[in-house]
Amino acid sequence: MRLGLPLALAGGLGMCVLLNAVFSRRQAALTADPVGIQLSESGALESAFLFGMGMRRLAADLGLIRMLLYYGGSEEEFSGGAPREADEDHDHASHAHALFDSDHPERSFGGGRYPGLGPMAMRVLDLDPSYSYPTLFAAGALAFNLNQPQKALWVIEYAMKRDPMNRRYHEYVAAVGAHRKGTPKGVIEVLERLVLDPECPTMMKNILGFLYYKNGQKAKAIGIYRGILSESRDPSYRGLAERMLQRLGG
Amino acid sequence: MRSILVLALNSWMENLRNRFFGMTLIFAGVVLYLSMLLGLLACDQEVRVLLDFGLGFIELMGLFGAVYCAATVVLREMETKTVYMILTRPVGRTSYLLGRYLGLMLSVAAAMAIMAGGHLVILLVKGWGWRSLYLWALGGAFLKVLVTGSLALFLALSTTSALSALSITMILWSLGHFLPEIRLMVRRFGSDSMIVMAPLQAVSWVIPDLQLFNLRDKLDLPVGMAVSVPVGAWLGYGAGYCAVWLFLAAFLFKRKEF
Repeated sequence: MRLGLPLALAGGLGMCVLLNAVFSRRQAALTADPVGIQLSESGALESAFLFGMGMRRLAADLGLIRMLLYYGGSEEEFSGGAPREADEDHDHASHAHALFDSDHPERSFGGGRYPGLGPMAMRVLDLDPSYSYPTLFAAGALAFNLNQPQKALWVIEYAMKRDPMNRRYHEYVAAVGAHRKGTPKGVIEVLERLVLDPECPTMMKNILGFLYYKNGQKAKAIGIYRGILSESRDPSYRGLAERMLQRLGG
Repeated sequence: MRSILVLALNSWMENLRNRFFGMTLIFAGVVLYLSMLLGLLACDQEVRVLLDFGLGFIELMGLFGAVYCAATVVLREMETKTVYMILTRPVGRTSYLLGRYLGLMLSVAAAMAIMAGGHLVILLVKGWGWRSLYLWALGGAFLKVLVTGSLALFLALSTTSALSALSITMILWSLGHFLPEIRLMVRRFGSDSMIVMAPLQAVSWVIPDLQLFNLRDKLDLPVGMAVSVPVGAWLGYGAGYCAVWLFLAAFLFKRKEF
């Protein structure tokens, strides 16, 4: 009888091995990351905890919220905590931009450079590679609001390595390309396709509305802002849409 | 069989009256409210955040309730000698243990269902389009709790310390979610550092793969994209693991001297 417990334990563990062999090992095995995760140390503990709890998506959600708070707040407020990066591709000065004039509705957010925006979006991608919204948001903000199209392309390129079949990223590359050439009509053409996507950030709709407005397409601009007013969950963009509609008399 | 069912129902009623479950539900309500606040911060992505936070915390609340009760209930009854009141009747020790476990899991299922009801109301009010995958994700979460609860019961009886049982269970819960990463690590470095990797490899063969039940990660795939729910694998794997831990727990309980 002394052997009873070890035998029972051995039998139990043997059953576990068998169960894993039959059910778990048949699942598609995890493969090595093709890009190489570039997670910064900030938030690493939180991510590890949430991963351990089986909440990978939640970790990505928190990353997104952090990114939105960063971009929604004043730059100085976050400068202590946001990751810094080299400034070699910052083409703020070299690329005078037709969109970003004194009329631009995003002026109310204070412009700025937000060097942490790209890395924050990439961090969310590392946590959940199938989550495209943060990339679309950050790339759109960098290209069209902060006048840093090169950085926007850098973020999209990183996302495309993780999810090469994602059509949205290819559309974004086209939009940023047209924007760099300084052809608003080309940008409008691409953005018109992009805003049909339910995942499209309200910010991009707002940019399209503003381009319509600048291009003299008043009716289309009113349509876009009305859409933002009725559909967007973001109070700041709803406020912007309201102001633009007043300006347009819609 | 009848005695198991009677004990299960009795345990369920006891648990429903238990303050701990009331507190769990209140806390879950607070967390769901907090998830609404966080959802507001996520602007366009409010629904996704609500979905992830809600499902995640329903699972965690179910887990904490199940693990805490599984680790304490039998030990407490042994300490207070109330276990005699049942075992002096014609009820076998295995039946007693299974009855307690089933009752506990019924309570957890009820708590998770109530929380999911509240969560669904919030989601639907916020404009989430109903998908039956939600129920499958919830089912997967419950299976994880079932497996982990049986493990906690076994550990409580083998360590005779609720705290140790709780700690080890939570560590194994965490490792169970890292299993695909552990296996990748073993594959990549196993040949170079065999001695270092050997314990990890052994662990990867024994602990339950909790990621197998994690359907939450596929919840917002585009509508129309088929998501396969491995129901057979879930049930076989979950039932198999529960059977193993409960068998071992019953084996230990039979040998206990009060």
